[in-house]
Amino acid sequence: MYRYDAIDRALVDARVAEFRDQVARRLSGALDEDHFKPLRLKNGLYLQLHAYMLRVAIPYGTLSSRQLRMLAHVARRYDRGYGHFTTRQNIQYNWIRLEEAPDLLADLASVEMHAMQTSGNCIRNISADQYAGAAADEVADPRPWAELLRQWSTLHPEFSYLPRKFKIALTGSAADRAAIRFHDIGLQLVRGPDGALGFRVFVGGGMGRTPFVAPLIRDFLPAGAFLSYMEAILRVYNRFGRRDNIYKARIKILVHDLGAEEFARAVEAEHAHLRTLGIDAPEAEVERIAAFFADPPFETGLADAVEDGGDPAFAAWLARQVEPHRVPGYRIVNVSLKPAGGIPGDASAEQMEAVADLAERFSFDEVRVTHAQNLVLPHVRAADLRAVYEGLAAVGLAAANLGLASDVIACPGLDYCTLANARSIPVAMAVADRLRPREAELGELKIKVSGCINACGHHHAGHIGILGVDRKGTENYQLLLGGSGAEDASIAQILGPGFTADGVVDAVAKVTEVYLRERRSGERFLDTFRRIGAQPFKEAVYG
Amino acid sequence: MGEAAVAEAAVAKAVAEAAVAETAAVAAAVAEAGPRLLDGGILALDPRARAGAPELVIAPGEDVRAHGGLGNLAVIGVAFPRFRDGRGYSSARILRESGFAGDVRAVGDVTLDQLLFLKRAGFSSVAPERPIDPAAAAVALARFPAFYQGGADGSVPAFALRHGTGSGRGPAGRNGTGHDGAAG
Ligand code: SF4
Repeated sequence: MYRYDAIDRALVDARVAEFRDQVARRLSGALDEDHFKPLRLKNGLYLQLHAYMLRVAIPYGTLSSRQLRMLAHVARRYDRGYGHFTTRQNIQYNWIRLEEAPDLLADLASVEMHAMQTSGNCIRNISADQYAGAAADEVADPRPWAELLRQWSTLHPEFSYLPRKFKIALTGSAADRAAIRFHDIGLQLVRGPDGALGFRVFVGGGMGRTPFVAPLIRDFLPAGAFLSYMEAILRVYNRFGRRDNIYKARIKILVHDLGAEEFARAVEAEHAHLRTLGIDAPEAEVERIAAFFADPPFETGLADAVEDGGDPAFAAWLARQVEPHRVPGYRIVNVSLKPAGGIPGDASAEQMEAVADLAERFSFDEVRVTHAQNLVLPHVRAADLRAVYEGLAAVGLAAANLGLASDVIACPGLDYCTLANARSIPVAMAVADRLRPREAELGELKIKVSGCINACGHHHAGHIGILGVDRKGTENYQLLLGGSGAEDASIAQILGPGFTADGVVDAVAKVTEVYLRERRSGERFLDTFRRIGAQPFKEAVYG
Repeated sequence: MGEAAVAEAAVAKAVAEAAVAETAAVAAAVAEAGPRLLDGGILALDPRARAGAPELVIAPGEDVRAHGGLGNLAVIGVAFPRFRDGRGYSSARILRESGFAGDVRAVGDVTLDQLLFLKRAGFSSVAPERPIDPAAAAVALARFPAFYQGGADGSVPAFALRHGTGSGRGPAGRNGTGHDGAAG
């Protein structure tokens, strides 16, 4: 993992001191709310329905045990004993007091964490493949590049008042576990024809009111020109992105209006200039950062077999939650934060501490957060899987549902969010409860729920998406089918008129029955939908 | 982390600590020299600041590159009708990158909390709607001992401090080194 040096530490400490001063000026009235708002947003602090919400950055979803224990401490000391992991690999606390926010940030800084730029119209926390450094299919590790981006984007002098928020995701594998094409910039590490490392650069993806799958604007960006190229994209956006209409201010609209080719031309022209200005980090800096992500001391010659000992629950967990590792004798363990009856993505302080302990004992001290609101222990010896399973089961985290119907993604919705039109958590839980008995039979089925058009629950990228809308003052839910946030990215389409909360749960059950009836061998829900189209599903739901 | 990496990190840390101390000293010196108030409530951020009205004010939506022959001007204003509209930051940097060495002034809805970004983007003075206390400005401008990016005020990026290279120095008018520190 990356560790702060004196510069990193001094920066974060100075930021805490600065925010402490800003809060003091706000509380004394010297600073009005209009001018304070963007300052607190850039420190992760939102004013929500009941209290302040603080969003803490988890850079590219990586945590040490020590950091996860601090997140548990924050939950206990400043919140109500819980935290909520988000679709951008961050954690949110929903019950924060403004006066205490500076102390909370100082606590985070003591474990090399911060909440900088987790909201506001700036470059947000960088996200990446949760299996980085462990995935069997990885071309190169995205974490050093993500850390380089974290530093480059932090307190950037030119890009701190952008037209809108700006999200960047990276992956080092062809299989996309980070939904890169739904980001403002999506980066895929690839090897060029001569074996050199570079990036495929996608720009202008996003969800919200006008969802787009990001087009490719550069087929191979040499790694040495990485930062200057990012700078060129951001400069074109900062100068020419729309600022007259909040719904048209994301870069996806600029890319769409100009066309991907014209946008790419503008970026290339800016880049020709910027790359001469010494913006790119020297190789020594890339190597310095990469050294932090060197392999942990993996053992060699380990037995690779895993015995389930005839225990069907353990066998089911092994089959569902455990993925191959690139080192023989190791596995990647997915920890479900979607237990029956639980709020998707929520974890208690006790659960966080239990996972931190397991990571320390069995996963070289590393934990990852996924955009599907689950956790990962990336480097577990095959021989330790049973112990990890039992440790997770002891705190109610041994559900075997990764990628299944009850592994629902949901935004906070009307239970917490000021922008919400409808509740998303109860609907997500009701859908999960309805489908759980048949979820093994249904296979991979990604269900995603948002409480409004802002799409924090990624409903556009759901095999089944549910969108809460406001219809004449009552909560109403639209059903969308056929989306994907993976390498076969697509945008889900609205099936027809909306439903009540109960009605949408029934409708979801009906579309899964169509799938079971129509599927061919080996087809996932998404494959069947793509083959037969929306009509049979419409007939089943509205007929 | 391997032993080599530990050793490397220790070296980087020592270099960084020395650099931070040095930068802090420079920042302290700058803080002593300015910011200072000029006539008309104009706050000077660095020695390029000039008294007097700007000869040209660039609006947020205007393409700064469409103007020719700016090199002869003493003061160029960049308008901020609303502080949230950040296009002026790009305009200022482009002016500095093109070698403009006069005063670049932020005019309008700019407050204490934007000063540091403005200065690092290449602004040498501000004409704020509401007066800014020079003492508070000095504290705000000296708050951070280092930055990850090079600034158009001549500040160097963290990677240059860490590796003791001159690469990556931000464009500071004609004096900027502006060479390519990239690996390729
Ligand atoms: S999708 Fe809407 S309701 Fe849900 S968290 Fe985002 S803004 Fe709030």
